[in-house]
Amino acid sequence: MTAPLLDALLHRPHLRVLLCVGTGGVGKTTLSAALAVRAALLGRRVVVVTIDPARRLAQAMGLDGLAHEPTPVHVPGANGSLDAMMLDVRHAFDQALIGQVSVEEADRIRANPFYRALAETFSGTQEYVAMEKIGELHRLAAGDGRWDLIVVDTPPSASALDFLDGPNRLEALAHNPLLRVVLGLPRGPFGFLDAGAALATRALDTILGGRLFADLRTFLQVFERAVLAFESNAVETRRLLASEAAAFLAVAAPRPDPVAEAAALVQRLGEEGLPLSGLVVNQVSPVVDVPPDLLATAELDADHPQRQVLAHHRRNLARVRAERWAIEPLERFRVPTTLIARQPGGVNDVESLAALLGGLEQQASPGRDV
Amino acid sequence: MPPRCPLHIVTGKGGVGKTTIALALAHRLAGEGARVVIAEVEGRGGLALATGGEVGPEPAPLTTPRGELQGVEIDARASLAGYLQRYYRLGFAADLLQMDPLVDFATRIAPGLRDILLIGQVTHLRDNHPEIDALVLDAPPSGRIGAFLGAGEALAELTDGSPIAEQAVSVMDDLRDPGCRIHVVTLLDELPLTEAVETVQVVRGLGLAVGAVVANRCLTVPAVPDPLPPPPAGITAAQWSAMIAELIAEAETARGQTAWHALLEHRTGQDVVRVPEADPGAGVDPALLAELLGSL
Repeated sequence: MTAPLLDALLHRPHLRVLLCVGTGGVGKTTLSAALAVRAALLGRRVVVVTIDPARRLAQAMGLDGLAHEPTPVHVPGANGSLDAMMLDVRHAFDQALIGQVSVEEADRIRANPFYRALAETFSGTQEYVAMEKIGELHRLAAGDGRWDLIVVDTPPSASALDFLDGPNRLEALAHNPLLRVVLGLPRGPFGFLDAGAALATRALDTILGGRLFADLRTFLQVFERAVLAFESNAVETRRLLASEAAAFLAVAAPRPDPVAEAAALVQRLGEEGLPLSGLVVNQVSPVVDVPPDLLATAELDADHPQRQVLAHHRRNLARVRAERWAIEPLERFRVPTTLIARQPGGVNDVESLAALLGGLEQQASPGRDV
Repeated sequence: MPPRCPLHIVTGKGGVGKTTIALALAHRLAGEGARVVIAEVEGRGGLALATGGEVGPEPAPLTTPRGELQGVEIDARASLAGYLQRYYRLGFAADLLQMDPLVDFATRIAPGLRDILLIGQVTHLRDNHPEIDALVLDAPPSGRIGAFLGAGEALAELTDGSPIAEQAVSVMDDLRDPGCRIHVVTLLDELPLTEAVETVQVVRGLGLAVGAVVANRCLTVPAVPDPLPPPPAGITAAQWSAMIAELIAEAETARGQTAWHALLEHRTGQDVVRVPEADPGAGVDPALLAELLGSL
């Protein structure tokens, strides 16, 4: 059985960007790859962007490791084409920031502790860079038509909302009135009172110490320019993501925590006017449907080996009930929902990626029979 | 100053059940009659979700089945406040905290500053609450744990001589104290396991002590009858072969886990503590899991 809801989504003629969003550990990366393979089979020219794939997943796509540039993946029987790439966050952030300065300045900036911290550990950098990459790939695709669909695996994060909040966090930092204070720039009508500015400068100097404070100034000069340049692109990318050319798939697993994250995410996408096209519940336990009275009768007459099989089936039924109970809170959103069965053998090649969706069971809303 | 109580830091890849294991460990420690506080940083509400109650900035009883645990959530603002109060005049500190942009700026921009403030606040909980016998930290996911725990080292180097360096050095001392253990939670599957092995290496690289390596949601290999029996009365051949397929798939997954388990022990050089998958439908009771954790 194929997955009609997802196939219909991949068939949408206007669709250009498909984003898989959800918390860590729900199988977003594998799902993104599977959707990309499926789209290529359906005749689309696809590029899939991932942040941090398993080595095995890269191997499943026939690559030793994913390159940082789009690399062709052979999909047997595909009418379309598939390229895959892994986003190198450090490199992309370098490009975004270093692109704004001279070569000599660039070396100084790379050694700057604030720059290193932001590039390596700031919890909005991956999202910022991912957003930038979506815009860039879209411009390339629109330019020469090399792709007609970009599938995005959003960065691994504790919270599913980070993908939406990350870039804002970076921009909020760039627009923080303190930044202008530290740089000694005019503060504008909504800036600090002078007394506040003096206190704030003194506070930062005191907390950070003189040397670090000097490094901070150097860094902020470049950072401000880079973020302003980024913002003009970001406006365009956000417009794209809010249009009918984009679709978001919220991904969850049938456990209370990921479901709570997915629910918060669905709500937020609605508030932000972003187009949620479906929910995917991954890693669902498969179970065969046997009427309860037949099962009970069979258990009465079964011999020991038969009981071993039936007892396991009972356990599986209980597991499935617990999963149904866990995903029930998603029902109220009335969003088309697709359940994907857990793959005991894992994903080893392009065929098994395609089969992941081939083994899909889907329905209009969760909570009833699979 | 009296010796500080043990600090247990629990980390793991997102989705492996870190909070559940942290709670189980807290129950385990409390079961020995100790007063235990479980803390989370920059709350994603994991504790509140797991216990169905509120978790605030001061330790307060959690709504757990046995009711003996206290929970606390440490955020960046409270941490900055704590830091300023420890090192500066009260008036100066209070003025600074009035300025939201400063709080945001100072806790985001400086490398590792936010993490140092957070850990500093966690370790200082023990000074403010000497009645605590053990502190369990439900730490950030392992993808960030190196930066989180290593922040002190990085910051101390950068800021030699400044007040924040003093805090950074004291935080690293606290983490290297023999009473501090970092526990790594994983599942017996490729991705979480790879990350767990890397985490153990990072933690050791920082000169910190790895406590337990915990494998969560472990399956037991089910018995598969040989030869496979024919369908019992009333079950069709198709239904029966599907049921047998369910059983064989689970047996394969469980055997795969056995192999991952061996690899995990080999790569970390540690015995792995196994926590079995909860009985389906029964839900997870960390108090019950506590008994399985043994004496970590």
